[in-house]
Amino acid sequence: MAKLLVVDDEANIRLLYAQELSDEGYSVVTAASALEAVEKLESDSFDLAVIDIKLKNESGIELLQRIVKERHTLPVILCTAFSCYKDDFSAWLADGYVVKSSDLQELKDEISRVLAKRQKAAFT
Amino acid sequence: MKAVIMAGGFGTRMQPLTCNIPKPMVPLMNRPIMLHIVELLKKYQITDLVMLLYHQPSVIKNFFRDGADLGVRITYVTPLEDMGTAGAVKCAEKYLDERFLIISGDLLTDFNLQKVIDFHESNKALATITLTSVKDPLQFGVVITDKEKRITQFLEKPGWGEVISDTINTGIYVLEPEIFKYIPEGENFDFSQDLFPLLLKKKSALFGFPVKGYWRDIGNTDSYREAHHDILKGKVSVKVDESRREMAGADLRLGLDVKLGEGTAVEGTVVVGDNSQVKGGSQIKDSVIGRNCTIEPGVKLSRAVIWDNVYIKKGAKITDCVICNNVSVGPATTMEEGGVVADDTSIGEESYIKRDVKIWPRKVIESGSTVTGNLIWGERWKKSLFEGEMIKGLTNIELTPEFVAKLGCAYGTSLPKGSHVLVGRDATLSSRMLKRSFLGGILSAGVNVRDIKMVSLPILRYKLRTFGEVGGVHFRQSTDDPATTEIVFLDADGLDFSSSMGKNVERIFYKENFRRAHYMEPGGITELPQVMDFYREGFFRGLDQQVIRGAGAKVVIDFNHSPAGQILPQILNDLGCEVIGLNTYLDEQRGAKTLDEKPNSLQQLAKIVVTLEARAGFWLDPTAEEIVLVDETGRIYAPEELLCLMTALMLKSGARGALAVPVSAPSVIEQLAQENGSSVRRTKSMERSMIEASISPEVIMAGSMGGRFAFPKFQAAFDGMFTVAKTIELSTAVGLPLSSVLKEVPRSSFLQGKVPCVWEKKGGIMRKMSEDSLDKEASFIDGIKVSFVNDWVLVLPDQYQPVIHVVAEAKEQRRAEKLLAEYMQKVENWKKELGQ
Repeated sequence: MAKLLVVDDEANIRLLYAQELSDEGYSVVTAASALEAVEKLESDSFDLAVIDIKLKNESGIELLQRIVKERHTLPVILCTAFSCYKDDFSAWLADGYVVKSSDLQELKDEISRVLAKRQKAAFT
Repeated sequence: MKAVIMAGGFGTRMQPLTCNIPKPMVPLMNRPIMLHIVELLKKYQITDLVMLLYHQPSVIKNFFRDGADLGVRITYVTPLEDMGTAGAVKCAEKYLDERFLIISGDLLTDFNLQKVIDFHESNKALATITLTSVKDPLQFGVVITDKEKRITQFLEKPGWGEVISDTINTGIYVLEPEIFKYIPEGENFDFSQDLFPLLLKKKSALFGFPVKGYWRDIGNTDSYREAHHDILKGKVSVKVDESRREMAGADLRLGLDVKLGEGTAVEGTVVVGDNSQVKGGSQIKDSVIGRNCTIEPGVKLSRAVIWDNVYIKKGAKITDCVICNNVSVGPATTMEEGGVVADDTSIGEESYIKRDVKIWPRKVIESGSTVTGNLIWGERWKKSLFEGEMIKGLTNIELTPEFVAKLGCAYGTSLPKGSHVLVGRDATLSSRMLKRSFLGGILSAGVNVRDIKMVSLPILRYKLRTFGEVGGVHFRQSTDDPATTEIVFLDADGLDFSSSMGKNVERIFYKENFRRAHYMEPGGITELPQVMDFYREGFFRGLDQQVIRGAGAKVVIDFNHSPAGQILPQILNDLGCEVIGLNTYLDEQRGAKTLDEKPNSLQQLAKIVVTLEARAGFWLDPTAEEIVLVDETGRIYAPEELLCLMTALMLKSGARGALAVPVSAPSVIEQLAQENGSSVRRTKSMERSMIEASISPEVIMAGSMGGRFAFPKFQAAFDGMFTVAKTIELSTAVGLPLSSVLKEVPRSSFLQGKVPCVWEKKGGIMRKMSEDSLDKEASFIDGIKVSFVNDWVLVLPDQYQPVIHVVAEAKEQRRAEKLLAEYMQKVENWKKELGQ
């Protein structure tokens, strides 16, 4: 069972993602801020992180950069209500980019794509 | 009465039929078109002929000579320059002192010429134009006459709006010698454009006489094929040399010494020229076969026109096509309607020549090819487009803008609609031209393009590793041949295209099964100006910057005029290195240096490194993927030495993990890894295999046997620019000069050889090698590698060349030499055995 870290500052979104992704068979841990995410990353190991770009007073992209620097094998999917960050090259470090929608299918597809890619690499 | 046959045309519209012979000599029912005209004139007792030649006159003169064999008298006139139709006739003025008839040498007609002459005479005309009615008068000159048949108006090649008659000028005229008064000497003067309008203006006796009968201007290859259809259907009667044979239900004409095998099915009208053989079991319908041809069993010909010395092998199917002289058609080949194969061409077995494809002379179509477009300039039509991850071909000859646009469309069709692809190129103008054409094709399939313009391949790969694009394409000049362009295809992860991806694009290309976007939904082009910054940031993150900054290393880099020269010096300067850049400027016209220049460049580089007392020298290949290293003593490293050195540097600097190297790499790598608590993953020699292995999180470095390295912490792709920086970092961390590090590496003798071997025998050789290795310790990752305790030998068939590689490694030079010689001899012997 793949273990996911979902980082979002909105409690409802965290709840929704945790439920929907658990139904998909993932083990889900949530974090409300970048700080909390870093703490959880240090104490636990994850297969993938889903990060909202706009966190309260913090930037998801900065969190992404920190993860790439310190844990470059952990894949990250950026999840945001804005598509404009696609053009920000700091965001290109992510493995995937999903524009938030009430339909979570795109996020689920992206998670399974990125995990499959990593799994393939691990087996090579 | 005399006649002038106009036989000077170039026959440009008839190409490729007229590539080697002038148009009037193109065979119609196994006889030159012009011979039919001579027969027609003879029928009306016109035997004093003037032939007006211009293009390839000797071919016509050699055939007709003085005309005595045909019962006519021929005078040849060859104007020195293009004088126009009337101007050319003016050159023959001295032979035309009586009434004369003019006719083109490339017509098929059965007109009653006597009626035209009689009309001319009874009307006391100065000039009479023979007229006929056609369904489509647009491409001819329309002529209007009054009740007395006097011409009142000319209309040259009218548009449909201007068509007021379907009566056209047939190019057959009867003229009085006085006509020469109206034709200026030494000037380009045309009958229909200049002379007749002048006569009309002067109210001379200019008449038009409409004639009933068959008339066709054999102006292009379609018309040529249709002329044959008309003859075979009996619409027009022409003389056929081959004699009629009794055969129920068919009109069969056979030349001398023709062998018609039993069981040959003949339908309609079939003509077979002298000394040809049609083997039993073939089916021939409404076709003309020339002299000295062989038609093998199972061949199906329908409405085919075959010239001389043609060999059509078993099971070929040819429908409504023209095959010119000295052509060989391979077994089970299919040719669709409208095809033309010009002289001296060879078509391999099971080829498929699509509708209306024209193949110019002296071409080779590889077995199993599907030919979808006209093959004019290049020499070969390849069976498969892809060679590994790339498509390469001669710029503007094999890879033309139209070909590449189609390729772009096929590639776009293979991707999801609305997706994005990343496209870049090297500095050459030809890459830019072809890339632009390719983009048009991609957009037409409704796929978007992110154009990152001139960029090194590793940068393109680096961007592809992130989200946003489903694939990438890079255009570059080949290092082997500056006239060749290579189009490198990458998948969504920046890896080289796999063979199945290539096959998918190929299938769409050959079937022309393109997805065409709705007019509102073609793809769009955007730019990504920040790609360089993104690469640069990742580059820094992948290095121990502190180590490099502290060293202040001086290095010399030969950039080979590649785009890497625009980015790497700046990056290294920012890291505190002093860079002496050679060949850093971009030369759009010249492109990169060729491989022939490489040894000189390396010598030069070595000299500069020593003179400037630099830490190292690097030669970067034009794609910025490969390096050659020169150490501080000026020693140029062989690829296998470089691989050993880089391995030693990595491990000495404290890095631990797995090293991915090809099967053919020296076993010293294992030795080094073992001593340092690391492991080695042997991969196939294909670069994609090495890169696939390097994606794995444990792999710290992948190294090829060609100076290519990937450091997965930065990117799992070969990157020469990063390799340069990493070498500086590692050598600084190790704290030893490069030459000292190499000295510490255990040495062995590593030798490589190759044996030429045709494709068909490669499988057999490998079977023999595997039988030979049964009682030995062997590995089969790529080719067959046999181990003898500390030594080994590898026999590996090349993927793209007709060559078998033999690689041997031993502790002692003599042992390696012996192993190499022994196995090369084995391969030679197996080749002979397989040949028997």
